Amino acid sequence: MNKQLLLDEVAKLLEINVENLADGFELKKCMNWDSLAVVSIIGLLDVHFNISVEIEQIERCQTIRDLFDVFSSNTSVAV
Amino acid sequence: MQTTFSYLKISGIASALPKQTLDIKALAGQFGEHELKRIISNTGVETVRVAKPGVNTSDLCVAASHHLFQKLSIDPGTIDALVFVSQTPDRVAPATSSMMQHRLSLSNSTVTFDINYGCSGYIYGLYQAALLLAASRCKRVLVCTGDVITPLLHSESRQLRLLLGDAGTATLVESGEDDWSLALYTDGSGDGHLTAARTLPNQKLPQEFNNRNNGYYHMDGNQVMSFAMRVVPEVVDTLLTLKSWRKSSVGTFALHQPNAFMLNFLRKKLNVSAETVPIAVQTVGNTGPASIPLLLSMRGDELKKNNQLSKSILCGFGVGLSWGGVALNLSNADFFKPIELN
Repeated sequence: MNKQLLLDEVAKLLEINVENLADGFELKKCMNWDSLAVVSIIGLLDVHFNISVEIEQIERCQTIRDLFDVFSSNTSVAV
Repeated sequence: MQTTFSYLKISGIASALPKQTLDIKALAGQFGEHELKRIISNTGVETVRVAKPGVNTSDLCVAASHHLFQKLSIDPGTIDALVFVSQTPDRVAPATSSMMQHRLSLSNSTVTFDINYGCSGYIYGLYQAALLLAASRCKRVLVCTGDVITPLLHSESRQLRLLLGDAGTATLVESGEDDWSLALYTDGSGDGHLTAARTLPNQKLPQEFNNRNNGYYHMDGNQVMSFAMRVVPEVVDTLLTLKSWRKSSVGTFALHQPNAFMLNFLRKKLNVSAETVPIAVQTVGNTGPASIPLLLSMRGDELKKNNQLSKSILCGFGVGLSWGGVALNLSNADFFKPIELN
C-alpha cells in the first residue's frame, strides 16, 4: 500500500493540509473526525485497497500512527 | 433465495412526493454551518420532502397509483393484486393495502398484502408480484412502496434528519415476455443496526433496545456502510451469473439511494462507470422502499433514451437486515415524473 496515497486521502477527508499529518497527529482533536470520516475511511480502504476492517478498529484510533497500524495489520503489504 | 421467473413485465412506474420541502441548509443553526456544508457535499442531499401531519404513506401511494392508472389508461377493476411495502403503514390494523383497495376502487376479488420492509422493499414487492403472476391467475399486480418516515426522526438526529424523506410509488407488473432473475437475503442478527424500536402497549423490547433513541428511528451508519459494501457486489455477481450477463453489458444499476456518498463508493467497488449508476438524492434524499422506483420515475426517461434499460439490475439493501436484487429488462416500461401532494 502506498502510504502517501493514503495520507492524501485522509488529509482530504479531514480537510487539512497533508504536511500536518504527522504520525502523532491526534485524530480526535480534528473537527472533522466523526462518523462520516470513519465511514469514509472504511469505504476508502475497501474500494482502493480491497481491505475490510472492523468499524471499531477505526473508531479506536487516536493518531495517524494508529490508523496505519490498523491498515498494516489488515494487509500483507507494509505501509 | 435465488430464482428466475418468466413471462413478466413492468409496464409503468409513477411516484408521489409531499409538496412540503425541508431545506437541509436551513438546519445550519442547529447543526453548524461548516458541518452542514461538509455533510451536504458528501451526501448530495440538499432537500428532503416531509409529509404534513395527517398525510399517511397510503395517501402518497394512492396518489401515485391514480396517476399511473390515468397515464396508462388502466381500469382499476382489472388489478388482480395489490402489494404494499412500507415500514410505516397507516395503522397497526387493518392492513394498509386493504384500505387502499377501497380507495383505489379495485375490485373486491383483489388480493392485497402488506409487507414490512424498508430499503430492500422494492425487490421484495417485485418478488411477491412475480410469484402471484407465476403461480395464480393474476394478470396485473400493483406494487406500491413508500414511507412517511419523517415523524420517526428525532429532531436532534443529524445522521437521519439530513438524509431521510417521505415518498410513495406505484409500479404496474403484468404478464409479459421478460425473464426476471431475483436474489433475496435476510440476516436478522443485524436488527439493531436499523430500527424503530417501538412496541405495542404493554409489550416489552429486548433489554438492549430499552430507551434506544426513545423509539425514534435509529441507524448505525458505519455498520450499514460495511454491510452495503459487502452485500451489493455479491448480489450483482449472483444476478449476472443467473442471467449469464457480462457486467459490462449492463446499462443500468438502479441501486437503493441512501446518499451520493455511499452510492459512489458502491459504484467504485462494483467497478462500473458513473453513467450506469444513476443517483437521484439531491431533492428527495433517501426514501427507503420508494427509492428505486422513485429513481426510475425521475430518471427512467433519460435512461430509456440512452438505451440503457434492456439489461438492468435493481438492488435494495437495508433494514432487517435484508437485501436483494432483480435483473430484468426495463426498456418497455413507461416512467412518469413525480407528482406532488399537498
